[in-house]
Amino acid sequence: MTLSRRQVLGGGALFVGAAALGVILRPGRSGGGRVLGARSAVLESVSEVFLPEGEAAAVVAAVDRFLADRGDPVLVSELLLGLAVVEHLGGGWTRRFSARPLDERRSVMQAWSVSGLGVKRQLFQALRRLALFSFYADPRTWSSSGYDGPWVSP
Amino acid sequence: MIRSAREVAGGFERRAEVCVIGSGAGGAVSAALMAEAGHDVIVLEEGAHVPRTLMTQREEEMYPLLYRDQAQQYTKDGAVAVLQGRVLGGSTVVNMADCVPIEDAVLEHWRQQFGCDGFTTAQVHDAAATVQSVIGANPIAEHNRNNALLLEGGQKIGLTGRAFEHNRVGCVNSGYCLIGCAYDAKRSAALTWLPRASDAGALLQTEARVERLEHDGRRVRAAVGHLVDPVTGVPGAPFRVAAERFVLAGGAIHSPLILLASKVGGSAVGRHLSLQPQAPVAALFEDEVRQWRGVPQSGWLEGTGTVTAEAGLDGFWLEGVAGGPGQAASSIPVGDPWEMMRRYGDVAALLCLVPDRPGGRVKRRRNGRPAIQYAFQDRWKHHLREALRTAGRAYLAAGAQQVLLPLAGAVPVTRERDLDQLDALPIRPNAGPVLSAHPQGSCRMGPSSQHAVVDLDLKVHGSDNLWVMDASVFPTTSSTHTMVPVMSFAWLATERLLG
Repeated sequence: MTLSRRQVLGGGALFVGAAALGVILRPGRSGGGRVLGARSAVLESVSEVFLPEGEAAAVVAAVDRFLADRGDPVLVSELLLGLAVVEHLGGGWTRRFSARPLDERRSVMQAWSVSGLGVKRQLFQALRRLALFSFYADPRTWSSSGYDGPWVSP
Repeated sequence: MIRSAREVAGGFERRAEVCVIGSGAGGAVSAALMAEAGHDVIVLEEGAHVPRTLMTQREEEMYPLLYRDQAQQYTKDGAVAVLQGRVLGGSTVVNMADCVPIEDAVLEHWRQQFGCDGFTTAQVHDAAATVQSVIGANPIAEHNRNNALLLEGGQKIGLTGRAFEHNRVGCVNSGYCLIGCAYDAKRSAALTWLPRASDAGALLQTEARVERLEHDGRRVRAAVGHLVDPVTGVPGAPFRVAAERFVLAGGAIHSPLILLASKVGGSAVGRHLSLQPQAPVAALFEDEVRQWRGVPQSGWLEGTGTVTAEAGLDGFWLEGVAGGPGQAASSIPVGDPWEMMRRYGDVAALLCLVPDRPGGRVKRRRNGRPAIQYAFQDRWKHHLREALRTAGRAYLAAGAQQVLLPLAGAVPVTRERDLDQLDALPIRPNAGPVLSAHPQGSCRMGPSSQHAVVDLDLKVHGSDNLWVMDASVFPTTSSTHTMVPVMSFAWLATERLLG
């Protein structure tokens, strides 16, 4: 995918964090998702920065299922574009973001949160929202937060 | 009668006397009045009909179903989440149910600054009283601890606190107002105005997205678009509705979008957008708060908020707010969300509501979706900084162990002097979460077609049969909460239209 500056800066709702794309988490590795494809690994590598250890793969698999079943095609394309930007912009000159060790990825994202470049802050906020919403909206995590869940039966 | 896309899967053509585009606060009122006046009315709504039996109280299911773009509508730079309902009843289904009519000073501001004297203060008062009666507006009698802490802290630092009026009747305090009421306690347009319209013979067509208006200069002939999947937005078969009169009520983002696609309304279409952006503040308390239960937004602090004829709404207000665990976690401004979510039950939250000036713009992207151009204004940033400082002081006075400010780089506040960091932290796009639930002003009313889209009767300048009746007509922000203002103006404009 070739990214023009215009695409990166003007992508509208741009991968804004499909914050509402929570889904039921199931254990397992994300692998190559139906929609995310090779970008699953990028989303997983970002989500590991924001989530408790060992939870990112399930979140990514759940996001992919949501996108495949109920994803808005325009939002999906923006998410894929955003992940491509992270992979290349967050990797430095010699590596891709997803190939970096976790502590380096944390440092990159921390730097992006206060970066002078708007696109980096945008990506940080968007992907943080996506990971956190998807994780904490899931019933599996409710007991850890003390949330007693809906009153209506599924 | 409510008709879904499934019932007309091959598309449809229809002729009606009145075509109302959008079923939210404006469209629903107008549709009800027109149908009850004996007109053949069709309402076109992009979202689905979601009755209470389908309100599951689960965030991951309801946000995509009830909100525009699956709750992913953002400004072009991603800095402001613009939350709007996409469901039969529009944003009245997913709002906080606050009933705040337009104050007299705002009407005077519009008269003085924009020549908007189409309706007298008395007429607006009467309309507000009428619409509030229909939706069951009443004072909120009880605060949950989340809101009580805000009011307690405010009182301790000398701020005036008040309770909202709301349009809940028979509320069971489940707390799921933002993702639809499973008890029909929130008297949204879907439970009040739209049944009246339907009973009077109106057809409520859901999952029908209007994309443009066919016209021959002064007269609109038809609304055309596609049936859509209510979650993904994927288009299906086309439809066309011809009518004698059209009421556009798609909200402050999509009404101008349709006008732009149709090349109707002149050069002011899409300009002068206000977002009234809000920023969250969270605070951790020693004792349980359980923000997710009870009325989520029942109390507010006045802050420096003023409403004057010179400036309209200015300053800031602080309002209680609550969300489910997904929304709460993703809105935790900065820092380590795990620790905060481990103690989610002890977290209180508020929104800094900071009115802005009309400086944004809605444009149309090549894929037909809106591009919302918006920049934070210096005055808005100044007021937000003061709002954050005041919020921190109020929470500390109420006994908060720590307060989280919604700005990247902020450290948790545990004592008042920690708030001094606000002087150095930049307020800029994507420094933290900011949302808008009250977009207004992109089809401004006014006497001149040079500067406004609709005239003082809310009819589009230069058109014989097209009106706009939603928050897009307000020249500046109308109120801290827009449901009653929109309903009031839709009531007045429709009454005048009907003669």
